[in-house]
Amino acid sequence: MEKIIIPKPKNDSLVAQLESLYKTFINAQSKENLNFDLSLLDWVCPLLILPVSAYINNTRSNCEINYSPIKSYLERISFPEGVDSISLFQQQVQKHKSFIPISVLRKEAGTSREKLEALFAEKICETLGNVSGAQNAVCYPIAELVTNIFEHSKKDVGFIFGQFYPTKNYLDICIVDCGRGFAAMYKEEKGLKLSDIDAISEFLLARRGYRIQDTETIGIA
Amino acid sequence: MINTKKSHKNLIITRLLAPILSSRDVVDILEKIIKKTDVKSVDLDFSNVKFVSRSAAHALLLMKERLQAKKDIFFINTPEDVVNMLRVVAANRIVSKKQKPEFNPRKIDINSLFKEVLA
Repeated sequence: MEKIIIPKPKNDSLVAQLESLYKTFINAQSKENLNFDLSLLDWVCPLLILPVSAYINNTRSNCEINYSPIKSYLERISFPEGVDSISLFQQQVQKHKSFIPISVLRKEAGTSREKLEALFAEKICETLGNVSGAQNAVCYPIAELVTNIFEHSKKDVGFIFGQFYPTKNYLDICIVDCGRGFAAMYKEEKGLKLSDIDAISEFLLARRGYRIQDTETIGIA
Repeated sequence: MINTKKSHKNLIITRLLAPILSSRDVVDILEKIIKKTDVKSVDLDFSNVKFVSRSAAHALLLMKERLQAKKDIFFINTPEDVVNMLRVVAANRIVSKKQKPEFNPRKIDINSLFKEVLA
């Protein structure tokens, strides 16, 4: 099993986390079993940690966190397995108070999955301090993106994770699936051969703008 | 002979499904529950429902239409945000938007992005 050392992001910006994620997977073959080494990481955000969690779950890969400076944080957010039931979610929240665990949504779970998603969104809103308008702002993108996983990705599992940074005053939510991707979707459903970049552009252009009252929103996967 | 068959049933959405409805498939579950009832009229009680997604709202409206020949379905105690979502989705079904907002994404090579932002 190939060992992949996840490089430390250059700073705490999302682009830096994206660069670290990109460099982690750049040389990996699709669905290859990997052993992720997190020893260089002293801080992560959902954008970096959730795709790694999703990959590990999807491919039964491994990870080494014992020597990671953020080992206790990773354990509190239930990395890498996540939680896929209401009881486990509540157990983790009870134990680790302000930490919201990585949540695994399985399509076949039906109403249990919906309840877990609701619990996740409610916990996020609670973390924000029940700010007026926050509920819709949180629920809408989560609902849209999770729906996209089950309707378009051809995968029956989705991963969600969120972290609120009170000193920086922002909420970071990440939603991931290990599905077929846009290019494969266009090829299978419309017979179009597009590059990944063109497929993403095509999807965004086709789905742009769903007006709710005076707010423009764009649903993307 | 007294007809003891109930004519009406109240179904509480948060109890049957969840306080946040996001997916179409949970509405399918709700439809199965409704079909199993032996009443002509069903109230779907949205008390304490915090959010209904566009997809779930669309699925609810389609379900109501599909079942209208056999059941009268009413949405009751519906919070304002849920009402607004149902109305927007219903309006869009009747008259879909012709004009979409402009969207002109800038394409950038990923390595250029990293150089630009992280230099």
